[in-house]
Amino acid sequence: MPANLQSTFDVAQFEALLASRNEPEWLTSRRHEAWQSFETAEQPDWRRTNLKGFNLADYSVAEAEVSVEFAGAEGVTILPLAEAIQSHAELVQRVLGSAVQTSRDPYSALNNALVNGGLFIHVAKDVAVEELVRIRYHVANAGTIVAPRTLIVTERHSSINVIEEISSADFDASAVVLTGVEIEVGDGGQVNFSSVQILNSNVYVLGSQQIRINRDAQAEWLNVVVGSAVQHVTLEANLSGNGSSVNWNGLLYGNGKQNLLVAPKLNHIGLNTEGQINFKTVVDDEAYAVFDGMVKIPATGQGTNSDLRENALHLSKTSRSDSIPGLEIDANEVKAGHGSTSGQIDEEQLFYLQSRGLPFAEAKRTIVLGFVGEIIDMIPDEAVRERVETIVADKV
Amino acid sequence: MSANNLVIRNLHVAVDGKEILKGINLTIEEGKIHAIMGPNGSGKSTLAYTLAGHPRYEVTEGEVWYKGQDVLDLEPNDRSKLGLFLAFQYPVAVAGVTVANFLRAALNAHRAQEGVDPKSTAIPMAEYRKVIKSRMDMLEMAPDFARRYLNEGFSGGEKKRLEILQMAMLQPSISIMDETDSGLDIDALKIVAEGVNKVKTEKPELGVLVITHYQRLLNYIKPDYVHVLMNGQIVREGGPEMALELEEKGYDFIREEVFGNAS
Ligand SMILES: Nc1ncnc2c1ncn2[C@@H]1O[C@H](COP(=O)(O)OP(=O)(O)OP(=O)(O)O)[C@@H](O)[C@H]1O
Ligand SMILES: [Mg+2]
Repeated sequence: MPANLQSTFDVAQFEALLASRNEPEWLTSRRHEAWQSFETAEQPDWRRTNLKGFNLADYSVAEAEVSVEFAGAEGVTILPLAEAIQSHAELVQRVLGSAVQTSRDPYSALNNALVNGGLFIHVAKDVAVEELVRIRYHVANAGTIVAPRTLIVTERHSSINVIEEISSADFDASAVVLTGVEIEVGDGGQVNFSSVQILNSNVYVLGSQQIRINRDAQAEWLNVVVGSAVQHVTLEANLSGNGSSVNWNGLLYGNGKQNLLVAPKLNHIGLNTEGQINFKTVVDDEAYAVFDGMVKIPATGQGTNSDLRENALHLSKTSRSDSIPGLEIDANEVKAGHGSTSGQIDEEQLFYLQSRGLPFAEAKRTIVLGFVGEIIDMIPDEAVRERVETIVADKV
Repeated sequence: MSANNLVIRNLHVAVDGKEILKGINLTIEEGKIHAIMGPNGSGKSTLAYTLAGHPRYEVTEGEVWYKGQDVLDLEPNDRSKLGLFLAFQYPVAVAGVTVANFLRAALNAHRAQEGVDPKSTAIPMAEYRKVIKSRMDMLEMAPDFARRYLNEGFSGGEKKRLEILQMAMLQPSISIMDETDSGLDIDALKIVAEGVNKVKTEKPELGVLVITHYQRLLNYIKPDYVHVLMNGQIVREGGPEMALELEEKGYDFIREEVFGNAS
């Protein structure tokens, strides 16, 4: 890959995108800024993400197909992002770019230059939304680069439960998804957000997600990653408000040549915040998965209660996983635990199941499905859960 | 001799290159209850695991026959299908796998026949629910037990009870119980022992090998034979009265007689 990214992506595509929109000045100038940053940035030093053979010149800008399933409720606004830019300019301006930061790396910059499609969800104060909001981004064609963005803003004492599924058609050539999820949970409220990535095994995924959790608010966050060729996604939970909390679970399941990376960052910024991270990783064949975690407790984070768990299962000799659970503590009254394990299927478990009559292959399968089942069972939508189960059952 | 006896001849077993069993000869007779007693580290669990086919235990010499089959030639799951059951001394936890789902899979594995669609031999759900409920009632287990993950977070006593539930579900014809009494309080011991006896009443041909350190269990599960395992060999055999004698005198007197010293 050339060191200079500018040569890899045609500025004409960017200009065409700009020309096709009638956007407010602030957004246009942000896009220009992002584009400039992309043009001048150096190739990031990602040692754990394999971008060999990846060339942006191979892709042309398109929009992901967006679908939303939600009956509607008083106090809930769900709009295409393009509309929200006009109707909810102030909110969008504040939240857009909180996760996908132009300065982070050139792909984040490109993501902000090209962001197109996507959804904006707003919940008014004191509104508790019972129904699950189902959104889905679907990549229909190979050779495309899409940049859908999900924005969720809830006002105080409101709650909502959203699942975002990213899927693709079953094409053989590759495509690129620049993802972004940017969420703000209002005081005393709750957001449950599940992101499920089931792209076909030729797609590249680069992006960021962030949840900012305000005073006494809570988030349940689920990240399920079973698809794509290469994924590099930064995840950030900011426990900004005093007394805020997050319960955060995830699964990476790679086989074939998949290279899947998540980088969850948990920032205990407020007083008396609570965060739990529990991720599971399975790798088979020649897959390589990375959990690049970081828990930060700055001096402001007195009374923090933090726990990070990561367990990896290796099903083949040629599969690999890296777990990098970082911990940075600058406050003195905190509880912070972390633990990670990695290894093959336990021989004692295998023997135990076999001794009850299960053939070797079924015993192995049972153990793997049990290992991932704890996370998959958390997917709140039955249809999505079944799609993930089918993919996982195929992998085992 | 009946083909339904389990016959162990001159069995030598090594673990990590170290010989643990040094020529075991033992026949578990159809419908009989055998007890094996012996000091810690004498090789009791090694014998149990070897019979069940644990890959870590290497048979260096000897043979095991059951129902006309060379047991040592079979995979652990095929030994189970042949009718062998081991209640583990230390049952293994498997996260994410519920007791109910696991036991159904085990039952279906037992019912499966080569070349036949497993769907056609699988136990119907309604029937399965009935069976597991009646077995759990018998062992006085709360219904939510079936929804818990296999041995995950179980107390010592709950684990042992689950072993017997599995035995009651799978209806083996040879059951090896490795210190099933350890970790059980008196009430639980009674329930578990009664459970074993009920299975035995339903299936009189069941042969049982009880491994224990305590006479207590043998008050409930009455052995026909008692064998003493010491230093990888069966050094004594007798009737139920021998368990009482061992409880009273310990193993030293046997050690002295067999090996000529008491250390
Ligand atoms: N996996 C193993 N690795 C190394 N040594 C082993 C292993 N399993 C058994 N042994 C050794 O073999 C010997 C017999 O062990 P075994 O577990 O069969 O004894 P046991 O009679 O069941 O004892 P206990 O009454 O304590 O349960 C011991 O010296 C033990 O340390
Ligand atoms: Mg033992």
